[in-house]
Amino acid sequence: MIIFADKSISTGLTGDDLEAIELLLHRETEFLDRARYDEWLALFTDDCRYWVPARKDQTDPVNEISLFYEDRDLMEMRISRIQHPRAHSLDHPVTTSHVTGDRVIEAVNTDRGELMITTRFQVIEHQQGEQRLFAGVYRYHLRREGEGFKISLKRVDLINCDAYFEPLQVFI
Amino acid sequence: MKGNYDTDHIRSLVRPDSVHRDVYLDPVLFELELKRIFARAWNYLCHESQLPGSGDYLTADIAGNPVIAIRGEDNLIRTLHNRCAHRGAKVLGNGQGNAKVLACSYHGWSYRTDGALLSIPCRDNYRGTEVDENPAGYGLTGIRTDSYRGFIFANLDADAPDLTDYLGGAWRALDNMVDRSPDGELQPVKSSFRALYRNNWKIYLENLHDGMHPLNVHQSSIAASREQLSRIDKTSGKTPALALQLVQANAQGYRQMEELEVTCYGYGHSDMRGFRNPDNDADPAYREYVSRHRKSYGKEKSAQILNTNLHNVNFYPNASAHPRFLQMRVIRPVSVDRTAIEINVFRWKGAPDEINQRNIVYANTIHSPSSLIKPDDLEAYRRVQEGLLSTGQEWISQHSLFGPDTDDAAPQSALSEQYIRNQYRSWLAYMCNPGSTGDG
Ligand code: FES
Ligand SMILES: [Fe+2]
Repeated sequence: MIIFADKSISTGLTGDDLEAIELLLHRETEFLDRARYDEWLALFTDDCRYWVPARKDQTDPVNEISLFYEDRDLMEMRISRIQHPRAHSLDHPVTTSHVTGDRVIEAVNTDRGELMITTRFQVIEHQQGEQRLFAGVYRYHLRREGEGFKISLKRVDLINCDAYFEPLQVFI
Repeated sequence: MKGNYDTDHIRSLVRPDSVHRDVYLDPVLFELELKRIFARAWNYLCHESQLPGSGDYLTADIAGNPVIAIRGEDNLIRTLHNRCAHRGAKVLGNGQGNAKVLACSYHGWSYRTDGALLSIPCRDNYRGTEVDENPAGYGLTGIRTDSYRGFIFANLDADAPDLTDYLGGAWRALDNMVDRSPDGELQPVKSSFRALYRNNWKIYLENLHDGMHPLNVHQSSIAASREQLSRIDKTSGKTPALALQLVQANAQGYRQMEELEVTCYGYGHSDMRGFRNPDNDADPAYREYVSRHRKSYGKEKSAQILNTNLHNVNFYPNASAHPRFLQMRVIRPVSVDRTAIEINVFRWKGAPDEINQRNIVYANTIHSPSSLIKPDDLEAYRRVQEGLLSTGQEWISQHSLFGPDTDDAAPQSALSEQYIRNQYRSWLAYMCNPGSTGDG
């Protein structure tokens, strides 16, 4: 469900827009779960970022380390590595199942055609008979492009961002 | 044969050119390693810049002992056992923080930042007891602590050699890390990477100068980065991301690996020259950095520092460094087949932001848990750990470029397993010394 964080957000969003946003965010996790990475990447703008901060409230991805901080080139590279036949650590593929909560429109910038949306998530990741759980908040920045919207930022705030991790190979 | 490890038995596990699989598999031997190696070595804890103010502390683990590194009111950094003298609670929870007084959360005994007992609630109730008569015996027990260029090390063994003797020539890496700063100072980058490996701690240290593995292990990342670099060339003509070039650096052939010098030192330490200079003299940020650096050190000394390009360095058994990209990694042995690694990244004070930011890119791409390279390394480590369960062969080969290994042996290359043999000579020396109490 799409809800507004605050009634005063002047949206200028039409019913068609809201439908397009709902579909876009549905696809964003659904394509990951189906390993349809090329279609997944097509949901993002050319100058997009995929960011998983290494600490709570991190605002600086450039002067501080991050669990992931990838532009489109690196996202593409990660995808080709995942698909490479001799990625030994992926001999047994990693599969995921995402569940997301309400989509909360936090802010809208009508002039720039941008909006910020948060949603809670839980992801079960499976590999070789073992499962692990990720949880937290996704923050999306969406930008109007052509008829619809694209994602310019997906930020993943993990509640356990400072934990000891085994490799994080696929997008969360 | 497992179980009771007398010196002869331990000695029989290591040959000059191979080791027995039990050293990676037996939990009894693992416990003995904690007592005889980790409890006797200088364990790297942190850099002094991580504890800038009085009362700043962080918690750590040495050979299974919970410890605290803390800067006192006298500005000295000390290491203390994190164990209350009353009924034994850890005085500080895990993590980093600041405390002017270390107060135990259980019954409120409190200690000064130098570990001395400060106060006990209901003090009168201790009248006439040992606590009253010998309060000095009821502080937080101190641990031998020393530093080199601001890198803090601690040692549980009063008989251990001095830190500088212990580091031997391996200190050149620590020098280089600090000397690359135009101001001669490091600053810590916030947060750290923490990773859990499914292998014995030694398997990690045995890979750090291994020039024979990248072409096999890293095929997927080498291919993916090559593909990505060519796609960028074709489509936009824009400069490819630094991260892609860093990944591509693993595509060095055996011939190039043969040119990488690996130097062994005493106590199992070793360092390795970098693949190639990642800096580009035509790059404006780098030029600015060099000019600031020259101003501080003079042309000749500056060139000497910046041309020292060290890739991985092993401080056996608990740390490794990447001097050129300014990382320190602490190795914590968790169990015979689990190892925890914590990585801290620093900044060179006085260097242009852009230069420091490249070290962040390197860390994110290569050493984060999401690394585009490391998962295949970890997979290899894990396969070693699991492969050794096989009873088909007892011995692990370390024969590459075998020659008589002596303390003053000439440096070899990244294709040699000399540095692993060097680690095992140190392993034997530690493990065959039962210590003055006889129980290690
Ligand atoms: S255990 Fe610390 S005060 Fe009792
Ligand atoms: Fe590797």
